[in-house]
Amino acid sequence: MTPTALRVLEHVHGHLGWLTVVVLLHPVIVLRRPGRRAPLAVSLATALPVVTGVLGGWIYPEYRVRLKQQIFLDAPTLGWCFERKEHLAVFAISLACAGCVAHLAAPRFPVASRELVSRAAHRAYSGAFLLALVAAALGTSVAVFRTF
Amino acid sequence: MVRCALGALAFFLAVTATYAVLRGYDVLFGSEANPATVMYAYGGRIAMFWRATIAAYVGGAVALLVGWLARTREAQVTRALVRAVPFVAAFAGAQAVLLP
Repeated sequence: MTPTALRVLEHVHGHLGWLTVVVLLHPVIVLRRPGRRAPLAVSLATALPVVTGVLGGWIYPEYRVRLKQQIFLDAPTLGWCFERKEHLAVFAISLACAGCVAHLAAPRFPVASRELVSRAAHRAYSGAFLLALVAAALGTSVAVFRTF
Repeated sequence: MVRCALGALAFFLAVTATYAVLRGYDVLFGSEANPATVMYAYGGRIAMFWRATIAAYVGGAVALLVGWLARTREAQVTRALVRAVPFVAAFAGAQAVLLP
């Protein structure tokens, strides 16, 4: 892949990352009240992190070969920040998926458990939002320092 | 349907927790080289993808177990999973920040 293509993909990934943070905030606000239904918002709020993660995973091997060692040589602290960002992104995606499953399945649960499951969805999205926020901030700080 | 949902919820929580445990183990007990001294090449094993794959495998096993348990103890399994969500999120966040 050419450096220009990689730079474009990196920028798209970065912008989608921040968009993901904003989109994840929506279910955090909407699902505060257990029982509130928002299947479309929740599905979209889960699809975007997945798409962003897939794009990040696609360019990750190139980052590893072209940038990783140099970043660790020049600024090890930022290198470790990027490691943190990778892990946080994985966690944010899986928690968003957990929240999506909980929210979409909640109406199928017995009435007694429905509120509990709705609460699980809210908790999962809250966790995903916080982790994604930190991941986006760390990713931006590294991207400002070094790009493809 | 409810058992499938509980299994799927358990899958994603287990993936999160397993990934964090694997990375934490690597940092504390692994013999990972300093990234500044490594020249990475195309085609090599990428640790992050490998960890995610193992986590998905473990998550699948946990999902099956939870689905089986939910046949007879649906309410208890639901309660346990709901309680687990904030702990898993906090554990994963702490791992990523403290043991990158």
